[in-house]
Amino acid sequence: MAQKRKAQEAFSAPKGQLSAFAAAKLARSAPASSRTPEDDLGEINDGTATSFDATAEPHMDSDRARYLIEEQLHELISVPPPKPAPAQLSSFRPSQHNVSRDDDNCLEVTLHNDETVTVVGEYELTVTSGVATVYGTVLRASSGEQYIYAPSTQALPQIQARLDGTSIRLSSANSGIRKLGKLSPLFRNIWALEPKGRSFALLGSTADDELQRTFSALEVDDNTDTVLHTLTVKSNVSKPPKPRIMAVGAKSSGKSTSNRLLCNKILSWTPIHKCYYLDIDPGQPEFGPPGIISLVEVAVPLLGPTFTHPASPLSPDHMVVYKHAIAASSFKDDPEHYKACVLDLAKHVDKRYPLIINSCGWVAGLGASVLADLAQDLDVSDIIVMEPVDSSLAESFQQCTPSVALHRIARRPPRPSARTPAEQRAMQTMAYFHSKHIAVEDAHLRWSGKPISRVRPWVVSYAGDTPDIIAVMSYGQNPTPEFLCEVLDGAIVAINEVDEEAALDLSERTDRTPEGLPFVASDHHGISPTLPPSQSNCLGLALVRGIDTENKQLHLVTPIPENHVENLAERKIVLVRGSFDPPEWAYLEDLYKDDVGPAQSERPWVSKKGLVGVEGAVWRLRHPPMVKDLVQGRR
Amino acid sequence: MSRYTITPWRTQHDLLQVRAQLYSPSATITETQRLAISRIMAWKLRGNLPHAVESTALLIDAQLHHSGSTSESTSTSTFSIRAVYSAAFTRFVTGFCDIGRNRERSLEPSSMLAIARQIGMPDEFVALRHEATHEELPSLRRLVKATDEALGWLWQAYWGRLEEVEDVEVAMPEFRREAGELLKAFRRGRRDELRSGLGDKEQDDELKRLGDEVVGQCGDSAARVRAVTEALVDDALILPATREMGSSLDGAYLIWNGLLLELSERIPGFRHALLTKLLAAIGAHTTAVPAHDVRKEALSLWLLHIVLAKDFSRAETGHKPQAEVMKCCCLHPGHWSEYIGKRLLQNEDAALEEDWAELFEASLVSGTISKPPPASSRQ
Repeated sequence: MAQKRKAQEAFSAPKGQLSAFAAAKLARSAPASSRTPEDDLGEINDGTATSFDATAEPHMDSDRARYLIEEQLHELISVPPPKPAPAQLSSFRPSQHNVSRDDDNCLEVTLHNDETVTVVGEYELTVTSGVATVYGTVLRASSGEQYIYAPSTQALPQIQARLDGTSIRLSSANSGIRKLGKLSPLFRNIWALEPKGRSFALLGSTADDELQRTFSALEVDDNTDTVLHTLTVKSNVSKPPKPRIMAVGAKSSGKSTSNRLLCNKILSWTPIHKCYYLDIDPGQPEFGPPGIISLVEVAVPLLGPTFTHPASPLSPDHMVVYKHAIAASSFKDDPEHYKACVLDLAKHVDKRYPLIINSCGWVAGLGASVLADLAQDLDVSDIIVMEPVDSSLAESFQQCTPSVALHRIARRPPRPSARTPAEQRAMQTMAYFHSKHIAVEDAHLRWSGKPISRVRPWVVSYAGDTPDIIAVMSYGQNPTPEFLCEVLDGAIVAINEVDEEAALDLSERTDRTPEGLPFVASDHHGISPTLPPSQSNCLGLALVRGIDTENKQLHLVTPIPENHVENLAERKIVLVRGSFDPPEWAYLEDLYKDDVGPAQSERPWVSKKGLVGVEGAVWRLRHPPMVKDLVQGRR
Repeated sequence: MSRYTITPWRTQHDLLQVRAQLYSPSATITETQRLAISRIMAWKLRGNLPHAVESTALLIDAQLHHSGSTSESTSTSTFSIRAVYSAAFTRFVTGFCDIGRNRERSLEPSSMLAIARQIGMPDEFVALRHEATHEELPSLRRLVKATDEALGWLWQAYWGRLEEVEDVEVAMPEFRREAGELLKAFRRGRRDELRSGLGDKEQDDELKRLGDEVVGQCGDSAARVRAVTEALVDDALILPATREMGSSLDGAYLIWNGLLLELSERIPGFRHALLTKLLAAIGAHTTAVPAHDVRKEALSLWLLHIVLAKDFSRAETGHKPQAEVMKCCCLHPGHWSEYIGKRLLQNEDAALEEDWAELFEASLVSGTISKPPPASSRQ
């Protein structure tokens, strides 16, 4: 057990984390009432802590004390360590020689070869002369304007000049995405805070930010660059069928970033200007809300995090060709259905364009075998393997598809991100529900700042002579019919369209709940059925705002464009519920926007209790804390 | 984010109802228990279900499975019964220990036993769980006893500590009656004070005392605040008993101003609730001819007083109610809405005029208002 002791000794020095022993000692020494936890923490940081003996064994009764203190300090425990030295983000230094315009709206600068500029916020980039690259895209004067989103939660893209005397113009832009900050703390303070009122801010180093946020610039190492370059050339040069490239790697290994870079490179260097993206990670999709897998035709570079470019059938930039709902953030409950859906999506790919496939980060066990099967069935020609990956997985790729070329990218240190995966999913779903695609020349996507509770819902009938929906299906667990309405109320469902044959099939298995809602019952084994992907497709998500049991109607809020929803009346629609993350963000939007007091805030499903003890807690999977979490403090 | 928790049940009352169904003494009726368990499983699908609730449902489900299989023939083996009990019990213990361990966020997680001791779970539970996982499945007798003890522990650790919330529908009429009594007594007292000319100091004390009483009674409950405003408006406590058209309400203002101000300051949302009630009462259908409706005239005057009087607008900072009231007047045209709207617009609030004058004019039943439209209208 010598190793365990070492780790403890190393980290019990008060670099920020209040060690268990220190807390126990504190509990024994301090009188209970007068001091607040903040006082104690302050004193510890003054250096009086070094007298604590890290090797003392805790007594049995101090366990309870330690537990109580830790409960209270749970949220306060990470005191930020002394700030590290500011890291340089841009090599460009603004001076009167290279800045040609600097007003309320625009910034125009001239760069030397290889100079980099890092900007936070949302802005439009135009290259007025010369050549510059950003996020893998090559931009020239003829490329026009590119809209870039650079929030502080991700690595910031760097604009790099490739020719001497390249001049670029950054203009302020407003797509409405900043309005989301009023509705949820997840979106607050992640954009630019510029004194001139511009929507972007140039960052020379990490110390330049007024809000003192931690930033990192997106850096592409040489290894990755070579691999991506090879693949781009291959996509350009080869005759149809064009290559199909899949990225495989563990979570947070940089798969989506490398896919985005690849996509942007292909779009800027090939004469074809289009590529297909098979977005099949249901937990962290590139183009839509979690729980849906899709095939997207990409015509415009991807210049922002996933929640900023939701795809839609109307959008010429990122056009959705086909979608299927998995209704969960992982395919573990029904891998067969998942595979069938993926293969169905792949049927719609045009072989004249390259295909990029984004797999999910599950590279062991069930996930690995599903990946290997998919690599084979999809005729993948190249696989980018982000180390570390189990060697058996790499071997199985070689075995299943002997013609596949494996490109390995060395391991990169994982970057601590500002948002947990659950928060990222919430941000993505929320951005999806607030997005508005306008089917006009306005090439740009907008966001609505209206809280979901104020959006007029669609009224959809579920009973009567001509009901709008034929059934409600459950993927995963089927609730007992009496409580289906309670489960559906305020939940997220996927709107699916089915063809005649499937509709007939379903009508045989449809029962009614006591409120008259039609639902598809489980089969005689008790297993709930799924929609066959060849006979159905998903149109988008909706939030069930209410169930009117008297008039037998559902009220749905959905970002699907109006004219599309109107057409649904003629088709056979099935609503699918599954294990989508509960839309907690939707229940709290009004509260964050108006910040009302307690007497007015009695809302369903929302309770005002803060932290609870272990007895009242929810059992959630959390990965065990890693060393870096404890040393640096969180976020 | 940490200020609010999302629960799978719509109101606390639902949770208390489920508690009654699971633990009631007449819980030999299996149907109510089964219903409660199905409901909890439906809640699990909504997410954010506390582990204590889920464990209780699983344990009682195991009990029902046991009694269900013994009441029919002995076609189910004892293994399957013991297995169901063991699975439920194991999930119960493991869940709490995992939660405790995740909370610690330390590099060296404590053992399950240490965590169990921290939360007050008996050692035997952890030992039984260990046995069920790594050794032989325990005997049926032990499992039955352990399940009972576990349910008892869950009551003491979670269910017994739930906040009791009254059933709004049942309790409100009673509360409103009580509030009405209180306010009537206050009104009587005030009238006497004003007639006899008591000193300001005593009046202030009395006001504070009553204010404390009402604030204490209302607590955090919006339903109770509404009940108080109902008592004031619907029971016509703020209106003088006998009145003619056109007479002023100064007497009523004198009596009630102090208390209403006090309550507006101390209960956020009181003024809003009062205004809503007044608007509802003014808009309600009555058999009286509108132009001669004494009651509605009085209510309108009260409404204007609360919206326009300086001391009220000082009391609650934040959104101005004028816009809300104007909106209501535009949407529900009628004699008194017109009256209120006109008076509000005449108050020389430029922003209000700009926003609402045109809309209000369009909504009028009787024709145009006398004032010409503002020169600088919106584009």
